[in-house]
Amino acid sequence: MENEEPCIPQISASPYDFRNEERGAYRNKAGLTEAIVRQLSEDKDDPDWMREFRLESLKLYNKLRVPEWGPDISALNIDEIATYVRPNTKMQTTWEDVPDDIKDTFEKLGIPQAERTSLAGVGAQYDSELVYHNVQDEVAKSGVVYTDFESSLRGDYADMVRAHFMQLVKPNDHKFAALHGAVWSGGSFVYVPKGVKVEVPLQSYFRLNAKGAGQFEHTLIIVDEGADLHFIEGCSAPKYNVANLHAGCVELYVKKNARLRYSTVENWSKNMYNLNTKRARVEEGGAIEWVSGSFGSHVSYLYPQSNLVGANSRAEFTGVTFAGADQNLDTGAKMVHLAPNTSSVITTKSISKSGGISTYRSAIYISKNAAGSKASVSCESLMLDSQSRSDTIPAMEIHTDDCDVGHEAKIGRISNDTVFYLMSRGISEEEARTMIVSGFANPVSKELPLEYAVEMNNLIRLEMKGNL
Amino acid sequence: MARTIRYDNINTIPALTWNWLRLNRATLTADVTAFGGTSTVSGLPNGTDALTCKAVSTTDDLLPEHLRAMPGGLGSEASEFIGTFGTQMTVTLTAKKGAHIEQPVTARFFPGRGKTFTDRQLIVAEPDAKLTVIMVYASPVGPADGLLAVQTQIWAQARADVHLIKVNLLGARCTHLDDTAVFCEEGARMTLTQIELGGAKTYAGVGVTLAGDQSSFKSDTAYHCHAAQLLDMNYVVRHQGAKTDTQMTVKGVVGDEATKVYRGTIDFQRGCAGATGDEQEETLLLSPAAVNKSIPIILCGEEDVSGTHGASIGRLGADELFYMQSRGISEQAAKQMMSRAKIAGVARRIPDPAVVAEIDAFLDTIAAVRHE
Repeated sequence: MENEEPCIPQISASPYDFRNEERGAYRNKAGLTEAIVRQLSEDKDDPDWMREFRLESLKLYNKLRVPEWGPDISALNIDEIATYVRPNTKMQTTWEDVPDDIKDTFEKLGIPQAERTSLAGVGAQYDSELVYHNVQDEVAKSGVVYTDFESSLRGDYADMVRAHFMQLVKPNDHKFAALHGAVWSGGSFVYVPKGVKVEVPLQSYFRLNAKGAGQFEHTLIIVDEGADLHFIEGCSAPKYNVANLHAGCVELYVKKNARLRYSTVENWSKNMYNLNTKRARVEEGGAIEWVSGSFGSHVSYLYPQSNLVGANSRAEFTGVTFAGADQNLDTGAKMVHLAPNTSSVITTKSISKSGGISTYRSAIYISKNAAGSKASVSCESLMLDSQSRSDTIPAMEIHTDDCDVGHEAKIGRISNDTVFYLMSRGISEEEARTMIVSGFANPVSKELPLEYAVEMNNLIRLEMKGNL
Repeated sequence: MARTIRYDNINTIPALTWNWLRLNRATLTADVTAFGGTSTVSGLPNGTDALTCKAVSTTDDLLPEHLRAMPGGLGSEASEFIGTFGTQMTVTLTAKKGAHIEQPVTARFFPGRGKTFTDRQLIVAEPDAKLTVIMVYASPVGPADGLLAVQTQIWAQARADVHLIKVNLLGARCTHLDDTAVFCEEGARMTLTQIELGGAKTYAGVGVTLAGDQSSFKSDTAYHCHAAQLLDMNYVVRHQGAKTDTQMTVKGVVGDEATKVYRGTIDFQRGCAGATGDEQEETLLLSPAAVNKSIPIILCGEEDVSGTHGASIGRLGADELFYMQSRGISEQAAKQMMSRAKIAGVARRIPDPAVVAEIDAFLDTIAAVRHE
């Protein structure tokens, strides 16, 4: 293990901040050129269409500009990022076969234990490739497909995957979608057949160990008619003194009367540029539920989008963002109502401390065809000191009179009266403030499975440590 | 000789967002013709120098250097246009220290038919002064076109109390640019009442700097967008002083094929400890072809503040409509009643019955056109 002093001061020692040497791993040349993309495609033995797709995406990447809004990302230099780092192992289906250092990493993160106790299947990605993938027999027998993304390009579902890959998030959507299209690697494919209800969640965990590297995993989930799934995504990385980049892509297809809950507890290290894109397409009577906790990263751009294309479909987004020292987290959600009687609810909580910047950004779009639709937004921000910032930028665009859109936002600080009350009951000030912040984030943590709610509260506790 | 102007940075919000929403800024294109129009000022008190009114070619002698580029809401491109087109004279109103001007001063602006008319005003309220200024924009009778661009600067000195009322009754083919820039010193109170009814395309920008401790800004805006009108608004309030306060309400209806855009920003800057701000928006949509865009922003760089905003957008509630219909009121009449109520609620703050009557008459005209 290296013992490197990070250039960005840490708030506290994080249990996620440990690293392994890149023993025997393959790392491509840093930067982004046609030769690098061709080599990556060859290394991954892509089908022809995928190689062409990557090259077209690269052209778009070179044409598109970085956004004029949002946090500054000028310090991110793609020429210094290795876009592909392959660990020295193939994907395994038993933990025993995973190399010890990588297995230790996931043991420390509690993944094998979680698999044993509370998950129906697990995928574990280390740098650019999945190193472990498994799904419980009874879940597999019900027809549920949960596999690494590369395998899905060749198996029985290859046509389905090709028909859906980057159709919701097209490479021309924005510069980092194009980047993803060019250099994506790893990720998961999930297919839940008609009427199958997966009672226990599936989880993919993404760990970026390599210094100065990028992770570009692709997650594609198709929940067929009347089916039901809870998918959990976790991510973390050790902290380095150079920039790392995460530009993943999540595409979710929720068919008629199906339901998908997509939960994320994100704790990337604080040298990470997290430029992730997530989008769902929801058909008639279907439901997408996003639960999101954003704690890590140096810079984040993250706004899951729900396209409600079927009548009576619905979307919910519940999120908490905690921005500490040297973090600029720009998060929120987009709800696009394209069909009659659709509904959406956004509930978010933002916390800023020690100079952290938290921005809530959202869009509600109600089209001409979305008569009878309802949208509700509630965002609350908590400022823990005056060195920090908290901004709220919600937009609404409405093209029909037959709708009901409500929005409320609130920004403030911890009430001294509440702290005083708790202290008068024998609780220390630090503990009191931590309790108040945990309570503030409670609407999000209560939506998570118990183990993840506990993890989220631990993260809040870690961030609040030494706050006074 | 007409020429077409195009400005791409009108009503730019202080914190940008996704470009696909087309809310970051507005683009103005308009035909600019020969300068023409008139403006009048009435209600100046006689026999006293408590309030003076004069036209000046430069306001540099009246404003300290840091206030000469007082930011409004429309942005620098519009300022430059207004500042360089036409006579370039500025009408200044100065309320002397401690003067309480009870009677409102009324300024009226009439762009010439097919002409371009620009006008600038500077209102200075010296310490402890109090005054009300009503500005009415109207067109000649008939289907008037043309362009009216107005810029109003207000310097509210310590504890001054200024109420500015702006009423847009322009003709149905007019383009209107209306910029308001306000600077408040310690304890100053600024009240803005704005009624937007006329014009084909209206761009209204308001920029307020609450620099002094305990200064405040309160605004009530009402609008009725109809036909193919565009109403594009941008309100930005910067809290710099401690214990400053903002209360903004924006209410109105959007019907026919009209489009309303509302941008409202409360910016709590570091050092404004104890500041409070609230922004409320209510939009009643009267037609399936009407378009509403809203972006209520709170920017916060100070811990000790309390900021809220709320928005409610939709059509007339089924229960309200049912109640009215059960009382024999048709749907059309019920919608009209609700529309007028939103305007009347704000118009009652205008201390001049004649102007309120003009607003009523203008609303009658809109209703009559709809029934034709």
